[in-house]
Amino acid sequence: MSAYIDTETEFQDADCLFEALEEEFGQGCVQRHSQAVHLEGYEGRKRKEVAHLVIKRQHVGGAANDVGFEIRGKRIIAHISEHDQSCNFTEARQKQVKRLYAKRVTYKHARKHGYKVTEMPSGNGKIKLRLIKY
Amino acid sequence: MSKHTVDVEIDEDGNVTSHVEGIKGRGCLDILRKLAQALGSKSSQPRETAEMRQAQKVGVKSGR
Repeated sequence: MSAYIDTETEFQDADCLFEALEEEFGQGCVQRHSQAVHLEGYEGRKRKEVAHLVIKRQHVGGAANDVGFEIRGKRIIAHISEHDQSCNFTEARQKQVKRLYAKRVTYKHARKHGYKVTEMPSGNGKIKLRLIKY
Repeated sequence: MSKHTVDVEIDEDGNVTSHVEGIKGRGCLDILRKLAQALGSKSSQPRETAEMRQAQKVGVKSGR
């Protein structure tokens, strides 16, 4: 049994995190619950960790456990098993979610404050956004 | 507020840098600060640029 590692994240906006996770794992692969639910391990057994955003193990990777994000007030805690951190939901993939999250938050913030957003071409792997206010 | 642009760059690690054009002085800091707050990032706090400091000096001069 692989133990879960609980990590406090910099994420604050659950809507943007949900969208970023869906973009990374695929539409319909991320569950959203108003009441936190228990995560399940690779063998289908419920674990003590609970989460509001859940990526079911079959979408995470081979012999994976559920991945979850628990909303605690203004904080969002990631529950990712030790096993999945090493092979399925690695640091690189977590960084990709962070990138997609930052993009979503920027779009949301820009629209809220009346900016028009254009995604600029970038050849260096970076996401470039131009926010214009007239 | 006059027309201005904010260029936002998100790198491979998810770190965000941003730059404002079209606003001089501390006004641009307010815009960047709000964006940094929305991102919840401790590392993306706005820094003063030479352009901003220059604009502030001009502001002081014009006030005399």
